[in-house]
Amino acid sequence: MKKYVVTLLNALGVFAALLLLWQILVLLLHLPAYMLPAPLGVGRAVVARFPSLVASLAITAQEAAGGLAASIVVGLLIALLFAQSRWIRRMLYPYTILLQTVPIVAVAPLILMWVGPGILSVTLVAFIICLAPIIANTTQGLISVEPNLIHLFLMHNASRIQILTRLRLPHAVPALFVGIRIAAGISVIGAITGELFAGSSRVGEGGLGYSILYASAQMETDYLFALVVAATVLGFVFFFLVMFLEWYFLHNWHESARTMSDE
Amino acid sequence: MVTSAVPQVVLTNVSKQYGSSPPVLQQIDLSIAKGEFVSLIGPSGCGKSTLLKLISGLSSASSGSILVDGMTPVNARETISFIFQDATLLPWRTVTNNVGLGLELEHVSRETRKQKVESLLELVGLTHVARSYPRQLSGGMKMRVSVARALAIKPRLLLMDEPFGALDEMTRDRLNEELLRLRAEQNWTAAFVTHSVAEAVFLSTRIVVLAPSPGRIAHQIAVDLPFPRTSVTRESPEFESLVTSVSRALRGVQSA
Repeated sequence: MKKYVVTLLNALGVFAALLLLWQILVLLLHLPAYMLPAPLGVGRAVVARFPSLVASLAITAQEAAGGLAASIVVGLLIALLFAQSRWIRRMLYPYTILLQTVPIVAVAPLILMWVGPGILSVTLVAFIICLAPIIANTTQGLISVEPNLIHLFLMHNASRIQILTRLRLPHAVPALFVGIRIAAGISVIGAITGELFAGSSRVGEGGLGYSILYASAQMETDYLFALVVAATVLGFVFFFLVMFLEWYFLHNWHESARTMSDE
Repeated sequence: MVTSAVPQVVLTNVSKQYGSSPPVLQQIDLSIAKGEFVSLIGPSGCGKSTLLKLISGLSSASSGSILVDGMTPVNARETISFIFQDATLLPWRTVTNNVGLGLELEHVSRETRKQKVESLLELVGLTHVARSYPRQLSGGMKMRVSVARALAIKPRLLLMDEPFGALDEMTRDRLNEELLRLRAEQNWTAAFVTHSVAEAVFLSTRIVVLAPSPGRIAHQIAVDLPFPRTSVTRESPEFESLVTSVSRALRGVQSA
């Protein structure tokens, strides 16, 4: 825990130094604010536009979280299906790879066209981008159970359901969390990408992606920076929330969660 | 110790072959009586672990018949416990819940389970770690939990596949002594695979020496050391001479 605090302080120290350097460079080079605003200018923009910034942040957070949550539920169900037989995996697994390789930027306009603009279609984009890592990791976790553990269960005449609920599922939880950790990071990217296309159903109100477009069109570079920072912070919050959940559920028994606080 | 002549495990002309490769086991005839402690020993590749898997029904014989209590191994499973080479504990369960796993899978009620597990933990000296998780335990402790789990369902036949092979010698000796103490109290029949001659002699009432490629029974050596056996047993001249003769038999099949 002490180590963790030191790491945090180090990171904050580096961050503060970078901000200072940035401020000095802007002042020394006399860069105009619409090209590169100084940190203080960005800070002022945050204060001035706080309500709309928070509103945008809330919309994006909702879309990303919704997409992530849906991808966990659906991904887990698909992984359970995949875990049933090698044949199912052989038949359907290529499509998960497809899901991972299809450029989301190219698909987003299609989804917008089919579903219509608004929160639902953006959530859908976030959902699609999150799905593949959840499926891939959870499936791996479900099928990589040590053979002797299966033998142990068979020796007790365990049913297929018992092997699933008492062995495969708990065994897959660490892998599921690896998937969720990856998905949490990209869910925010997915939501913002979606917003760049789907925007909002009302002019002037929308998530971070929409506001980024808006601010860039208006040449409000300082606000644009504030939005980028907000998006980054959102990604961070998601990541650490998942890290906390992972620790909460796994610290008793799993190495990955146990060593996290020592890193 | 009640060792009757009633056979509990009977293998008749059993062979095991994977596909078209040479047989792993060929024409095994082996009978294990109630209350016996039989060790299977032999060079690697002699099929001793396979033999154990066949008796458990986890693997099926290519030919021949196997009966446990007059039933097929799969039908006799309720009375059989298997202890694996590694402890095979579920890392997400506490010691208590690991020991209770078999009872849970066999739908024993929560109350009964609790009582049985508690008394068992006491029997194997694990009460103080009842709430610990496997990762907090040493290798010897984990194996002890594994043994407790196997005994929880009150087996009549205990199959063990080198359960103490990964442990240091002192821990292994202590667990051997404990295993015999438990056997004296619960009176199960045992088939035990090991690489260690001393362990086989210490534990067994009979040692079956297997020869490799194809796996077959080369020698059977009765071990008539009196029970209870303790650390003193290991220092007796009878123990020494049995170890010598089993080692000699083992060398014989290895060089052949």
